[in-house]
Amino acid sequence: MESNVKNAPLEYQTEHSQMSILGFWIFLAAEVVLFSTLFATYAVLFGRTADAPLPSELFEIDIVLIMTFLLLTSSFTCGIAIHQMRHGSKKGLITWLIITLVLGLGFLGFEIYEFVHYTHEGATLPSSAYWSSFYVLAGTHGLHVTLGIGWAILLLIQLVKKGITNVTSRKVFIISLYWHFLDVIWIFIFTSVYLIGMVV
Amino acid sequence: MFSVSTMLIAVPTGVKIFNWLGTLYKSKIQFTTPMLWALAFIPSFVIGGVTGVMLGMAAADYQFHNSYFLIAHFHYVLIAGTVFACFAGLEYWYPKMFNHKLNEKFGKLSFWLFVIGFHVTFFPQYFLGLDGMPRRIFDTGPEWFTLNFISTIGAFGMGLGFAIFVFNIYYSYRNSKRETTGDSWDGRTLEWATPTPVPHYNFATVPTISSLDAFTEMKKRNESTYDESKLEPIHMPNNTGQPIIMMALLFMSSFALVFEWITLAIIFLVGVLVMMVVRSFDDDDGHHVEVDEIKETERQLRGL
Repeated sequence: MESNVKNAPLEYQTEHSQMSILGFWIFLAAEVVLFSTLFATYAVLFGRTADAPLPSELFEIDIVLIMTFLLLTSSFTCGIAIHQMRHGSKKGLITWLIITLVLGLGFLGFEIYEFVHYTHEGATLPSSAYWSSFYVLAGTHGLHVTLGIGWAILLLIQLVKKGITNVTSRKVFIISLYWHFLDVIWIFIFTSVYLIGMVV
Repeated sequence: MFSVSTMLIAVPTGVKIFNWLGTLYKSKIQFTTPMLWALAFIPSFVIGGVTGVMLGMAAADYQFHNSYFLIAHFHYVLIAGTVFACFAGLEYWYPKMFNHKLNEKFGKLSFWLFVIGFHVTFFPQYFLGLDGMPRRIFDTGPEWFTLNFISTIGAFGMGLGFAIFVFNIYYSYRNSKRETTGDSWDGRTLEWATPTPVPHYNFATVPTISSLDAFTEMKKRNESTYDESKLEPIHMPNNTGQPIIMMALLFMSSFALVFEWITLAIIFLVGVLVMMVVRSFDDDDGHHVEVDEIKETERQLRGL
């Protein structure tokens, strides 16, 4: 036990940190449940567009593809950030974390543009059951990305102030789990909402 | 829909009955008040469960639906399943919480009054339901009077039982013997390994668990959770108001959302976010309880 702890990465070195990380996995499990209900709602209400436009009339593959690449790349750069942290490079960690944030902000910008565009075309939150479920599902994901960006900025300030310690490395590792999780959710939204919505 | 969800509950619960019986099988049962509550739970709950299966049959449920049969059923499962369990748990852990047991005589008296009162109250309601009395009516016909009257008598019995329970809290506070060991019932699980009142750091030396009923094993080996040779400083968080402030703000924002007071909800949500930032930047590491302090506390509590 003791020797395992000594050889573990920095973020796993105290019992407190180990429990925090385990707790965050449990939080992610709860997030899976949250998104499952939203996906189920979306599936049930699929096609019930009433008088609003059909998703196949509005969805554009190029924008969604750009968003997907932005978010997937940000997940990759987030992985590099953790890699830098394991090597003890504060500068590398902060740089790659900022790149991750910029990519996340790009994703968010496109999503806001997309929502505004759909609203102008007559597909709003109250316009039909289908669009309600669409905005709640995609919007909940977008809100998670927004909160994640705010959270990461707080961690960047702490990193600049304190450097890579037991505590900050644990915090950065946990936000990386969160960020990868949002990426996975987006892959499901991309396939089951956008790709299917475009062809049906 | 009702039958599917009812069966979904009824079948696994039927299996649970055998778990409880299996736990009791071949054990030395001591008929203390908490055990009486636990034992009374099983047959009472079975009556509620069996009538639940009756409600789960769609064809028959056309007759039972929203009648007093249903009322009797769910009171049997709810009261036996939760109220009896609350009484059992409260009586059992009372000495761990308040350093003295509840009086057994009054405990048993309140138990019998409550349980008999419970059956007198709710058993006739099955027959009222079968006689066609619907739920949620303010006036009943004369043909339902007798059974309703019996039910009312039972309710007074339950009331009296509960009044005695409340009196017992006062009586035991005045008269019960105070605990000295922390192991009030010759317990098998680890909460009884700590002295009473439980020190704020819980275990002086953290026990290693190698089997079920860890404390029984420890007692056999003549060990305790206080081993002076193994004492180390115990890390504890400092007291802080942050979590409760955060939760109060979250509560108020959800409360505002229920009534669609959006502005108010946003104000409180911003408060929550501010609290999260405060917490993120808080590098209070807590403190250590030193070995000397542990020694002094444990020696005093364990009477060493």
